Amino acid sequence: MKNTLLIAPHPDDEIAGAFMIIKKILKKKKIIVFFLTNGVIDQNSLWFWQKGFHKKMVENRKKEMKESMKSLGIKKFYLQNIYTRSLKDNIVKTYNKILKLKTKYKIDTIFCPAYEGGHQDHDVANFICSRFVNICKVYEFAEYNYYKNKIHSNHFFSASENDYIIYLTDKEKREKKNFLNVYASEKQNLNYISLEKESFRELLKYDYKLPPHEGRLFYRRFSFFSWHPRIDSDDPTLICRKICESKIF
Amino acid sequence: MNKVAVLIDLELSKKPGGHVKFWQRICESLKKEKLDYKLEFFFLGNENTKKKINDFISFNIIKPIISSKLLRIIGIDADTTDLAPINPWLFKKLKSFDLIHTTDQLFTMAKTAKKVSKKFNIPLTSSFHTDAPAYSEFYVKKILNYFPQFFSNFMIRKLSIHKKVKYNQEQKIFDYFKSCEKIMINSSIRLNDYKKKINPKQIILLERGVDKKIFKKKIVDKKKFFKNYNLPKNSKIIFFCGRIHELKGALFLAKIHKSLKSKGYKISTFLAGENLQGAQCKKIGGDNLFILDYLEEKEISIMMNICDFFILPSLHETGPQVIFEAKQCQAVCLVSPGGGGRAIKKNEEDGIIINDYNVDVWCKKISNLISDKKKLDYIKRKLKNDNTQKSWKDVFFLKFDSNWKNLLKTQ
Repeated sequence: MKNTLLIAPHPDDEIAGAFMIIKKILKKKKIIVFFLTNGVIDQNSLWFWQKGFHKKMVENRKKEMKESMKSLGIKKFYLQNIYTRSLKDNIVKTYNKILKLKTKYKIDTIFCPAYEGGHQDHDVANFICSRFVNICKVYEFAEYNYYKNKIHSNHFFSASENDYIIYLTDKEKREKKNFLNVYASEKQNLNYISLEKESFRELLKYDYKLPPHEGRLFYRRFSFFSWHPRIDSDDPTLICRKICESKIF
Repeated sequence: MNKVAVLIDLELSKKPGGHVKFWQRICESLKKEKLDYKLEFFFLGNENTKKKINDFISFNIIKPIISSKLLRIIGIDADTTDLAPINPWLFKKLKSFDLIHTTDQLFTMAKTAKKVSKKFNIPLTSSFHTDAPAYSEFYVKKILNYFPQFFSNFMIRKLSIHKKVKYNQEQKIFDYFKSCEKIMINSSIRLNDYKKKINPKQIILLERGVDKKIFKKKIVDKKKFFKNYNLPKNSKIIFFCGRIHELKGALFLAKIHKSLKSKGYKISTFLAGENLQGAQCKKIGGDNLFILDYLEEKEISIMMNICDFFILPSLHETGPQVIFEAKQCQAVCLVSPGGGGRAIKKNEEDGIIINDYNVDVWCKKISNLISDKKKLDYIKRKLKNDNTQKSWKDVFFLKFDSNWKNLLKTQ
């Protein structure tokens, strides 16, 4: 593990899922972060009174991202300026960009979020990265899931003996909280992060034709209010279909 | 929903040993969890009862057929187990389970489970918690020493009966493991022994968890503690936790205490745990050696935070739970390699391993440490920065649940 590429589907995933992984493991290596989306939903999905502020929202999120990178001491990072929940329509394009980064920086290890139904972009990112398992090491880190109708954060719902777990000390918890606070625009979305630990492991072989687990997924837990901008209205089967229809499947 | 039986062939008492505590703590950590199967634990007790813990977990208490309490009259004071070759009631009960997990390999529940597994083709898994062969060796030697010297010498020195008993038990354990789908073994040293005889794919490295809400570094009122026990100022505190018995090194520690005192060190030694040989320890150690008897976890944690050294001289441990807990409290641990040493990753970094079971060697090490503040600070810093100690919940999900689910799926 010399040159590492950390895949963050949204600016804040690098903190929510991999803060300690970056600090304890990856900081000692050469690390590049690739943000697959800008972290803001597209203008049309916002409330009508918010539409005028869309550009500002994107700028804000970018500013927060830069501050986070600076605080973490990461100099090389890239942002694919597409909207949240649109990664499923940009699978091949994203794959090619990762491939380019891999070649340019001689990447030998990729870290990506787990296939756990936390967010549709996380699941799509996991699928894209799974295409690299034959050419480099790919690890996945747990962020959040809703397995058996219970929120689990930084913990794989399908635990295996090969999981690596990093437990945070009180000081590290405070530090992580401060880093999460950098993303002030996402404050309401990050309160379920437990701060107790972080988990990662070598990417498992998933069946991407099926949703990550049975029952309700994390991003569908408020699906009754799917008209609300903050609620993802996409059905998990749609995400699976998009994955299966992509050229790299 | 599938049903998994976990057999713990030991008494569920108010003052349990490490093996029972291991499963009690696992259960405690799972109280709010939703499992994919029903988990039924079987313990020994005075009467047959069943207790529901939550929708997924329940405890069954069964009466032993031939209780090992009978052996107390010949000096075997180990925890109570069942010595019968089979338990017919349990045999009948286990038929309805989809997976059986045994936590020992030599006694009634394990034997019954093996028979049920074979007859009804139910997958069997097993975990290794107690080094029973080493204990058997100790007790056989102890019993033989009751006999006239010429006889005991012949049995021990010429025939090495105690070693043969140990070897036979080890073979029985190996044989038992062969009939298991998965085995969970504690330490890497034993793991290598088993790897030669058992398919490595069957072996899972078993780890211990720690309740980090209880066992953590915290501020304690040391002055009050010194006042309560009327300890001399600047006295160094040594703490021991475990059964107060020679097998755990309690008598050895009492000798260390005495020796350090005779060399002019201000030492106060506290022993906590089931009091089997406390009086003997007190007799050897004399002043400033305190027998605290059985303590609650919170009290143990306070002691671990107060002490300057946590000492467990025990030579045989499979998973020295107290060392993991002491390390979480950032206590400097001094241990033997085959005992507490199994919980030390690197000697002189996260604890001190002393190879020689000799009072003078231990005293020298302790006296050197007393004057080496730099070393103590280095160890404490290493302990503080260690983020790898697993919680009980994680131990269960990573080591047991994931493997059981795979076995249940393939059924």
